[in-house]
Amino acid sequence: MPTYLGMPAFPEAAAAALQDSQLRRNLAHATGAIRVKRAAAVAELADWPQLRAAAKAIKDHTLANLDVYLTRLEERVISAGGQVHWAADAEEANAIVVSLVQDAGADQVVKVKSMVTQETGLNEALAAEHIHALETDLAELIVQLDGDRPSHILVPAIHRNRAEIKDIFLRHMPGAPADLTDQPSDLAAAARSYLRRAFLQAAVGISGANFAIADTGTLVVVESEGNGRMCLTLPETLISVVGVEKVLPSWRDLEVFLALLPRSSTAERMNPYTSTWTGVTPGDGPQAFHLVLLDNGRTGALADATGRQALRCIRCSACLNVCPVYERTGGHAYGSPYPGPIGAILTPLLRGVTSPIDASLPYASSLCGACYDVCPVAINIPEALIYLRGKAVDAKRHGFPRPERIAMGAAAWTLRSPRRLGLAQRVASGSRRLVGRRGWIRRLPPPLSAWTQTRDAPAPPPESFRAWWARTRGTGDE
Amino acid sequence: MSERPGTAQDSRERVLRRVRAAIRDGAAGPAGSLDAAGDVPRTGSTSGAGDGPGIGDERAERERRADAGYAALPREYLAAHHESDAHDIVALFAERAADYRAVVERVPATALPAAIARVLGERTADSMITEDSQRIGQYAKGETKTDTAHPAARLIIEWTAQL
Repeated sequence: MPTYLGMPAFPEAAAAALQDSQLRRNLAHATGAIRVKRAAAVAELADWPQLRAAAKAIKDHTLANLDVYLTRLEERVISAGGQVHWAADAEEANAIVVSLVQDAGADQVVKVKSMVTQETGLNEALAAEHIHALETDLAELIVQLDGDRPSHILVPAIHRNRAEIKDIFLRHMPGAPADLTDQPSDLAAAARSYLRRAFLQAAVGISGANFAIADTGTLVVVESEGNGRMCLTLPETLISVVGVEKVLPSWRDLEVFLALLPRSSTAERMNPYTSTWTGVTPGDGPQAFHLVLLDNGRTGALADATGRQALRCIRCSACLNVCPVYERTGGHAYGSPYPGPIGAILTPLLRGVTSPIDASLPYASSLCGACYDVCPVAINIPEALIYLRGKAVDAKRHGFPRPERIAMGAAAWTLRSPRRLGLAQRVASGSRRLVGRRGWIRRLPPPLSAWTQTRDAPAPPPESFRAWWARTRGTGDE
Repeated sequence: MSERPGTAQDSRERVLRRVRAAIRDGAAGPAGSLDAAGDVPRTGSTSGAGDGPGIGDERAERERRADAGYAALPREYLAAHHESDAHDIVALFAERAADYRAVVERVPATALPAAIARVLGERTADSMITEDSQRIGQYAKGETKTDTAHPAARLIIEWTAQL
C-alpha cells in the first residue's frame, strides 16, 4: 500500500486528528446520520439474522474451497471471451495492468471506485508510466483533485464538508464554474460535466468488483452514481482487479449479499446501480476484458484460523460508522486504504505486524463490540483484534518465546520428574526466608517483578507435603 | 494470460499453491510455507488430461465435495419479503421508486400516451428515444413513424405527432 508509506503509527496519527475539530464535526455528523438510517433499513427485514448467517456460511464455504471456485471462475471468464491474470502481490498486479493499458495505447484510464487498486497503489504505478488514472466516483474525485487520501471505505471524502468540496473544485477542477455554490446538486453537476468528457474519450476502464460469480464468470459492481456503469460499458478495454476472496460460488448467492450490502453500507434497500458483466459481447460494451486475480497477503490471512474470517468482509463500512474510535479519529490515522475496525484487523493480516503502524492497529479499538453487532457477515472483529494484539507482542520479541511459555515449559519439565519436583519444592521452601515477609511475597526481582507489581503472592510453605510425609509418615508428630 | 513470458503461469500456480496450502494447513500453516503445496491443474483441464495421473481425479473429487457442501448450506432466510397474494406489489414498487426520488404516476394503459406526452411537453422535448427488444430508435416531435414493435412507443409517437 505505497501511498501510505512513512505515515506515523496510529497513536500519533490519531492524536493529530483529534486536534482537528472540523474533522470531528464532519465525521460525527456523517456517521451519526448513517447509523440511524442503517438501523431503520435493517429493521425492515425480519430475516436479517438468517441472511447474516447464510452470508457467513456462504463465505466460509467459499474460502474453504477457494481453489475450486477460483479455477471455476477462471474457466468461465475465459469461455466468455475474457482473459484472466493472476498476481501474487501488488507489484505483479500493477505491472499487469500497466502492460495492458500500454497495449491498448492509452495514456489515460477512467476508474470505478476500487479499494483493491488503492491497496496496490495502482494510480501511482500508472503515473510512473505516464498514464493518468482518473477517479470517477465523486468522493474519490474530490480526494484525488485535492491530492488527499480516502478516509472511509464507502465515503472516501467523509472528512470534507460541502464548503470544503466547493473550494477544492474551484481550485483544482478544470472547467469548474466560477459561480459554483456548495449546494450538492451544483457540486454534482460540475463533477458530471467534468467527468462526461473523460468517459467518452477513455479507451480503458479499470474497476474492482464487489463479487465474482464462479459458476457463470460474472463480475458484479454495486454503486450509487452511475459512474461505474459508464466505466464498465464505454471503454473498449475493461480491466478488473479483484481480490481472490471476492469470489462467490453461484449467482444465487447474490440474493443474500444484495440484501445485506446496500442496507449495511448506504442504508438503502437497494443500491441505484448494480452492473454485471460476463466476458465480452461482440458489438456491445468493452471488446476486451481482463480479470486480474490478486493475492497480496490474502492467502496468509486464509491460513490463519482466527484471521480468516476477515476475508468474509464485503466492504460495507458498517463497522466504521458505529466505531467510537473511528468517529473521533477519521480514516487517515489508520495508515491504510482499509480504515476503521475492519482495517484494524485486515491491514495487519495482509501486511503483517512487523511495522510500527501495522503493529499499532489492533489497539485502535475500545473492544466495545459494536462492529461485530453490525457486521453483515458476522466477522468477530474484537476476537481478531485481541488475537492480533498477541501477534504484535510476539513480533516485538523477534522470535523469543513469551515469558509465560518459558515458565510453563519449565513447570512441565519439573513436574514430569518426582526427583525434580522434590528438588524444586526444597528450593522454594528454602527461598521462603529470602522473599517472604509474614507469609507473603510482596516484591520479586526482575523479570518476576512484573507479577508482584500488581499483586502479592503467598510465600512457599516451610515444608512441602512430600517432605512432611517423609519425616512424619502422617503420624502428626512434629 | 499476461504477455510477460514465463511469469503468468508461474503466478497462477503460485497463488493457487498458496490457496491450497492455506486451506489445508489452516491455522497451523505459517505464511512461509505457503509456496510449498502440491500440484495445480492447468486452466481448462477439468478432466485432468496432461496433468499427470491422479490430479484430474483429485480435482474432480474436490469439486464434487465443494458442490455437495454448497448444496447443504443453511438458507433459512425468506424467499421473498413481500408475497404477491398479501401485498399490492405494484403499489410497493411505486412507493419504493418514489423513495428514490422518482416521480411516479400510476395510469391505466389507455392514459399512458397522454401522460407521457404531458411529461414530454413539460420538458419541451423535441425528440425522444424509445427502446424495444431489438434496437433503440430516435423520433422527432411530430413524426408519425409507427414501425416500432413496441406498443407503448407506438402510442407515444402517435400522440406526440398531435402536439
